[in-house]
Amino acid sequence: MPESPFYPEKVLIEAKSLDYPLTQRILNNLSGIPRVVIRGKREKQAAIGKILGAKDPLQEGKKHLFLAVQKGKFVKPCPCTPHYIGCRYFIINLNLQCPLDCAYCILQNYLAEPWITVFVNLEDLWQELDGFLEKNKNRFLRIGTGELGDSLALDHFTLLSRDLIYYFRKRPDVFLELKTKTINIRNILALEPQDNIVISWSLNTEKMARAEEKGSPPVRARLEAARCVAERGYPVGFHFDPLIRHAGWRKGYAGVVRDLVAMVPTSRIAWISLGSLRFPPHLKKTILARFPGTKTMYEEFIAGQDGKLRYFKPLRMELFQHVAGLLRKWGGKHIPLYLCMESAEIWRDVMGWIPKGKRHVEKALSPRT
Amino acid sequence: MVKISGPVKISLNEIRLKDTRFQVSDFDSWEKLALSIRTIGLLQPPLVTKRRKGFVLVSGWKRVQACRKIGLSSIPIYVLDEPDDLKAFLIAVFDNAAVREFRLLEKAQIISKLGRFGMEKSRILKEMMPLLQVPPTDFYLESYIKIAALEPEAKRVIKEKSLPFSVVCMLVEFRPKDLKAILPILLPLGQNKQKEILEDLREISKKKDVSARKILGASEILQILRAEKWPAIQKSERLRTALRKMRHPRLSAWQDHFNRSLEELCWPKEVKIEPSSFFEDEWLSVTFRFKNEREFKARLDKLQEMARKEGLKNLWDAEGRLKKNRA
Repeated sequence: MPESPFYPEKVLIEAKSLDYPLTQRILNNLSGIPRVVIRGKREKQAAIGKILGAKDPLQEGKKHLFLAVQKGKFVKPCPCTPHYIGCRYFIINLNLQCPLDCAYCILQNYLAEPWITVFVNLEDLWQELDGFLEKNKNRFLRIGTGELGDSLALDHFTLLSRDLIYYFRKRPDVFLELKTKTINIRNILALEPQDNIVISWSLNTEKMARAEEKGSPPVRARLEAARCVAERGYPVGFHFDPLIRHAGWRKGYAGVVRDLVAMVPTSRIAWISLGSLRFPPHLKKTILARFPGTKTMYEEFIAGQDGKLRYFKPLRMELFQHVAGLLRKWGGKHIPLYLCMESAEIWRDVMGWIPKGKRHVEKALSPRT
Repeated sequence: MVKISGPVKISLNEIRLKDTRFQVSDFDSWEKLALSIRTIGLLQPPLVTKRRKGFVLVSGWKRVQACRKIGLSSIPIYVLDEPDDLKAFLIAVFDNAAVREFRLLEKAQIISKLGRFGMEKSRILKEMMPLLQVPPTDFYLESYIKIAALEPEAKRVIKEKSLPFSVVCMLVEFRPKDLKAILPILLPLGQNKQKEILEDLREISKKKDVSARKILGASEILQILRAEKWPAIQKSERLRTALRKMRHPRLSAWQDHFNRSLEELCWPKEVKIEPSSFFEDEWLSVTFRFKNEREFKARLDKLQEMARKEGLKNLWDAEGRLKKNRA
């Protein structure tokens, strides 16, 4: 989505969601796009079956937007991974799946339904959030929408960033993170910034962005968007995740870090995370079938303690030490850095300290202000 | 409705055996059948159909071969009146499917021919693949078509060794020249090891952008392949280890370093020491057995002796020592 934002080819509307204001807003913003009301399980199964019958069901699913009512909970703790150190992040499941098509994306095998879903019952979300925040009122909280989908990829027709920012503006003690690879920041720039609203970008080398992040803008464009957002007054975050070993990775990541510190005032950086490429073993087959040209699957992976495939430890260490070292060297010691789903030993050797657990990481990321 | 006439007796020479368009069977031997025909005669005449240049066999390949081998000059046949090749082929498929299960190469041949005779992909998936007991997905369809296109030598090995689908569909990813080099190495091994070798070869080849043949031509590999002192199974095992090292050089270096460090320490054989899985954690585990107090004390003495050795810390310093060696 470098310059042209994503639009679905078809909108499917769960009958129950028809009367919600968000449904009407989205449909108004997607006028001219064919729409179908799905009544009952049988019609839904038929629509899913049609997508699953395509040669590449995932690609086909990305052409369909499904508007539905969230029946379960919106807010959940980030699932993280067993046996490694987490960070007590919370996720809001407002949308599932993503129009971008990153080769390494875990969502390829993670979600039950093939299309992009937006949940429209916002009133239920606000109510649930009220209860959740009340229960956790005495702690520092980070919460975001970018776990099972991109926070901003659909924002030009959902305008959900606006709803979320309005809500969290009244909760200055809670950090809302909108995580994206896109440059879809028009709605963000139109709103008054606040220190607890963090807009963050996933970064990689330009080479990896071109080869492995199909549909995503170039990394420089993402940094340019981050610069605009930071200049507007928002704190920004960055996620070097997944760090991928590939020919020229040292130079590639050095280039991104150099651009990052040159383009974005480091004082506006709320946090930067580092995570190395990791995935459940069964995803490898999907990745190779959908992206036969990728070379990322041929590095030295081992089964980690959580069963996921990840680079052999010294290879991960090299990635982390290189990128973290450059961030510290060029960006300064004050930028809060953390590792996503890593072991105590890697924390010790990369960050110079070992968190005693999730709480400890959370505390280290609490606002510098 | 199928129109069949006969049986009529014709000369065996009138059947164009070179025209194998309707052949689905991939039979191994005809000797038993020949004995049966010689003893009690041909009870079920083969089915042929007329084409421009003569009779083409639709079903009964094994019977015709057996009749030829025992020197019959003419045999009874049924004649199918069906000018459409796809329909005639379907008759051959159903005729066989009714009485037996197809083997892997037969399935591949049938699926490939159905496509060549013009059957739509969706029909192959929906109607034919379940009949052949093949999961009706694009992956299986494409894999079987690739299997059908394998060179005769590869097919011979697949058949002789009854290689399973999971191994064969890895083989089809290699070029014919590479396959020639790979097949002899695979044969002495069990399925899991076959898969491991193929996967390693494929991944090294993809990563380095070189053919499998070139990988197998590397000096350390050639040394193994050319060594006359080892039997085939041992060569294959050594090759498997060599490929593992190529595929996972860093992990292999750590494992080698660990083993070397134990040798340098003269680590006692009666005390087992192991790193964590893939060295993911720093801890090492030590286990030993003992029958009595004396043995217990002896093991502890050995461990204390190890603890006093300067080289003990090397067990945790694979990276540092490897770096030093590289420098």
